[in-house]
Amino acid sequence: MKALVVDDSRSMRTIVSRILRGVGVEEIVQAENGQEAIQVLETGGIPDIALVDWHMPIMNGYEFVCAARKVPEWRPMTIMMVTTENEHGQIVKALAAGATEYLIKPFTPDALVDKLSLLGLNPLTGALS
Amino acid sequence: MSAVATDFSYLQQLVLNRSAIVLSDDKEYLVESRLSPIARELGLEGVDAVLERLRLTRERALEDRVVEAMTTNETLWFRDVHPFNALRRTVFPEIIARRAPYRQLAVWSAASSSGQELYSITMLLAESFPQVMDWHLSLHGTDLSSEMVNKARAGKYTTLEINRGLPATMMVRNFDRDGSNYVLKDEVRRMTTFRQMNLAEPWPTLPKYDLILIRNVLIYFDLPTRKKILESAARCLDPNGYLFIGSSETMMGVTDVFEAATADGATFYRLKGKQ
Amino acid sequence: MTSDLNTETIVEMTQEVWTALLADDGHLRPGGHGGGAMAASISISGVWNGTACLTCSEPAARHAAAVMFGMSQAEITDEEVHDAIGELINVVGGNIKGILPGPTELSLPTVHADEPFAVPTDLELGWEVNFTWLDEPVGVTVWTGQVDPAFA
Repeated sequence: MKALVVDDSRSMRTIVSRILRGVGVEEIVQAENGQEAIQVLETGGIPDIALVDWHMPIMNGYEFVCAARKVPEWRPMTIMMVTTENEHGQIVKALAAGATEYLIKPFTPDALVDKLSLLGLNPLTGALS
Repeated sequence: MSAVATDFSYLQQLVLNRSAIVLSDDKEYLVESRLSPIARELGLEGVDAVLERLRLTRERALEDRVVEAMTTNETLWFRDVHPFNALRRTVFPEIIARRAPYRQLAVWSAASSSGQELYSITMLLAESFPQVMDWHLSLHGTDLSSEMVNKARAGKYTTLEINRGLPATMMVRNFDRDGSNYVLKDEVRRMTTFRQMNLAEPWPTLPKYDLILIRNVLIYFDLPTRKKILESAARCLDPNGYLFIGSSETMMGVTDVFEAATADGATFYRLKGKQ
Repeated sequence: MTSDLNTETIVEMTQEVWTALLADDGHLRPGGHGGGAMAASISISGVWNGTACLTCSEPAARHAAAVMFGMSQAEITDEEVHDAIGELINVVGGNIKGILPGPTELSLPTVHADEPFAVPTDLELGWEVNFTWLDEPVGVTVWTGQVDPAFA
């Protein structure tokens, strides 16, 4: 399985990537903002899942979801928002724009793994079913 | 920390195989505190000795203790995923078709803790089977701890708790913000009843349930008590009903009143010879 | 309408952040002198306006960064320390924003590395919570500005 971790904070990218590696995700690409993430998708092929922060400079996570969902070839990609943004209205807005799941910061490592299991991640193989 | 890395991967594999719970790498710090009491009780030198004995003997009872110690307090929404997939795709469609003439349905979460299991079922029913919302629903939760019963009744959870396995769409539909917490909407809470009950003591009169969940609690009891609990559960299960125990738990060597069935990646039990 | 925000909520939320991101097992305790050489702040704007600030000692910040990056304290660079406390105030601030009247927008965090955090003159101190974490000071302050009259 391949994952894209998008967050302007390097410490948060490190935490998320560490948890993903812990459940067998082999390939992890990181991006610092939505625009960089779009470039990754354009040049590096699509990951199985993108884990995306909301508040980021240049292009935020919500804008990224809107932009990514306009590209038909990228539709199979699961998008999980991983953000401190916790207003109900904003969560609904992100889901409506095409985010598949939503995890509120702060989260424990287990919580991220639980959400991945909900999405069908097989923790033995690191693959999404 | 005396447990070396290879011991931890062994433990991760064991917990995963037995409970379908993933111990992430950063849980290694828990090993010492969670397993030392077992070492002391068994008169072993330390955590390493416990793991060594596990590896050599593969003692089922010791495995149970270790898995439980490493996963305790795992109260989460839709725990283990598969049982809920089975409820949604196989178990509830069957029960509901059979119960439609009577328009009633009874579910018991027998170790309801802070309520996540029963509320998960309630939300699942509301979302996938809206036709039963005006039936006579008995959605019961019981727990040994009255503190847990009160917490379940309040239906109030922190961000850390709300994050554990609850699909985002269900969260926004069923919860309101209350300060830094999340509270279940009244209409969901009102559908449920929570009561204090000790499974090891004589049981009160209970209705016949279509579905009973006694998950991740049998481990706390000795074999004769487990047998008594499961056989009592058999008596308050509808002849066509379903019983779920924890993914890491087994009926083998405990009682033979049930027989196992599987669907959607989950194992559940039905009364022997009744289908 | 800022009644939901109080000292107790700030304590709970900050401890949650410490538990989740720093695997802290109850070592962040309310009480102590506050202060410290490191600060990071984040501002909230909309129907409620204000700033949340995290202060802590250099050893506390370095320890937090080491946990978040999964490295030893000796390996951690200043840039990583700044990134870590920026993310901590981002998550604390985001949760504070969540219980204030909305809609509001959260800014990106600012790390005050060389200059101490200078309080904008139009803000008043709303809440100040001091913690002690492994014998080091940690503090969270919330500075309030103009509140939309509809919510005042």
